[in-house]
Amino acid sequence: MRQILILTILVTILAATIIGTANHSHAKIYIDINSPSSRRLPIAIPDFKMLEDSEPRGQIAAVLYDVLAQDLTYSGFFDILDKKSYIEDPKQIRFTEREINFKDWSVIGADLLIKGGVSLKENEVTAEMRLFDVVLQKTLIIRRYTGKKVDARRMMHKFANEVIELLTGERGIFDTRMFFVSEASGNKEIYVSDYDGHNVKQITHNKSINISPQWSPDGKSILYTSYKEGQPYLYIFELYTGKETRISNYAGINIGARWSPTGREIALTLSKDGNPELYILDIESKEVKRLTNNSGIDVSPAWAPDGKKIAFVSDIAGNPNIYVIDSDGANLKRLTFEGKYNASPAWSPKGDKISFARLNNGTFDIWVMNTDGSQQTQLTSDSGNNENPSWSANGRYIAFSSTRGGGSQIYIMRSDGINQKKITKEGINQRNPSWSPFQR
Amino acid sequence: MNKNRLFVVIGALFLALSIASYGCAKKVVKEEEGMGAAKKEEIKAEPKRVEPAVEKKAPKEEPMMEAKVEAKVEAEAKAEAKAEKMAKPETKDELSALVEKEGKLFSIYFDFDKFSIRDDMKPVLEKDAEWLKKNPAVKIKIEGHCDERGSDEYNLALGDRRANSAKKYLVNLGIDSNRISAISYGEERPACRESNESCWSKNRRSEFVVAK
Repeated sequence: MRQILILTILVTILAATIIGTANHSHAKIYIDINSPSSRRLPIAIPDFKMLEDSEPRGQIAAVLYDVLAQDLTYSGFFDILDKKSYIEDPKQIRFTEREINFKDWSVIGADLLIKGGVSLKENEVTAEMRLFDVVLQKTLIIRRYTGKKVDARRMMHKFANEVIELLTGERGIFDTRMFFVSEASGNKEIYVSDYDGHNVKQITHNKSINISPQWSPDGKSILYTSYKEGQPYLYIFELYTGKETRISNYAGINIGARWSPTGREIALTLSKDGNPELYILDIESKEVKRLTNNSGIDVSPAWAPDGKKIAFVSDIAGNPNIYVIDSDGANLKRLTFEGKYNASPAWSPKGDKISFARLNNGTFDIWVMNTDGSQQTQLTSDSGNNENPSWSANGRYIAFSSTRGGGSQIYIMRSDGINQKKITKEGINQRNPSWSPFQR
Repeated sequence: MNKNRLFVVIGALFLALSIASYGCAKKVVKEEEGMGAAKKEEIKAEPKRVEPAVEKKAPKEEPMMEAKVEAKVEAEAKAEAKAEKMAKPETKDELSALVEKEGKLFSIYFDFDKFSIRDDMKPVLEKDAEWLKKNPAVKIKIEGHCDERGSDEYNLALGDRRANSAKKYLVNLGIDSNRISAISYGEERPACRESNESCWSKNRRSEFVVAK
């Protein structure tokens, strides 16, 4: 009898331990990223504390707060609770799991809590960031970032990525960057900025016409067409070494080039054989292989992420439409049959969708469709001309240019059209966005 | 009796005027203006010859003005051939003047998303070809342009076609293809920047730039 009792107790303890362990593992699903309408997670983010400030009444804590809040808001997964509802005494330093009274936060409806502490010493910034699960009363992430003041925004972008990755299982894009063409200098030059439009830097300085910037798959080089030598030639510029190579200078046009996912080939349009056609150029050997052979204009190749197919624009049917072709030139298939003009296809890095611009009733809008051409959905409307879509690295967002505010500006939006947000400055024409791969 | 005298006076005046107006354009303008500003729009820079047939329509006072208008119209119609003969050297001069001032020949324009030469543009190309024949040492660069709508890349290709389409037409008119190079600027070098059809139609063009 006693033995059975002891055995029962032991088994119960064992069971409890197993169950208990299971509860403390990361089996909790915070955000089901594939669910069509996940509820937004209520998260509390009190103001960051200045732990040390060499700049009296400095703004750095507030600036960093805004960067993080905007990233998390933009992700669409969070509902940041109004600071007015917070009941924790802001004067007290409650930074660690032990110090925090989680009831203060669960009572206002928060599932998650972020605490940040910032130090500024001369030009060096340190940010200590923590993410807590309010319900389980546990620390989920602790991170400490150090760097120069100019890199401070990047620290918050990286932390936002960490938060997203932990809660959704997917990599974040908040530290990614954007190429675009801007006429700020009076000429069409290429610039780069953070994905949110900050930290703009000029890349080309040749006072000519520079267009169609594209990121290499490793994020280290830019491919672009420039008239700096008098004709539209194609160049590769290495961002960190400054080395530039002229990669294609055939007679006629050398345009609309895109890197293959392997980074070894480029698909582009050349008119050297008498008609604008698609070719594939091997970067190493410089050999060119012709892909299309028809009487129409063939431009704007967009590689599928597995490199097996290429979407592009052709007017062989009499007006510009989106087609798909195998990367060896076989199996040409037409995808669009409506709209007067369908252009600039962009293949999602997830592989499942193609975004493009369609002219209807006099204006261009951004559309998206499945890669077999089905489910064509309009994403913008009544907002001027919207063109040149470019996907974020995680396939969740699309950058595009829009003339809705007069002049051309760069916007980003969720891939279902929600949250269309301008990222460039007014008063200058900016177009041709190219969203970078994940940053290493 | 009075009426008859009036007619004689007016008739004489009319005749005198007709003879006087048989000179160059400017003179006609001045005298016509003296007579009545209402006819200003009718006046063209062509010499006029008033036919004797006019006198048939003389009889009334007020209709004198009308008769004059009718006469002018008839005279213009008959003088057309002569006018054209005199006008031709002016068009050629116009083109030479344009080359001197802006370094380019007459531009041609295209319909949206088209690179084919429009019928109304063919005479323009003919004039350009004629000038090129008269100036055999000149080489030109044909630029193909598009309006701002549509993708940059497609427009670069379309501009390439517009440049080459114009080149082909000139070559068919007898211009040596070695004298002509072609380049596309797509939508990258607009002639105007407004977002309306009036501006767009000005941007859909081929320009013929004299090579330095």
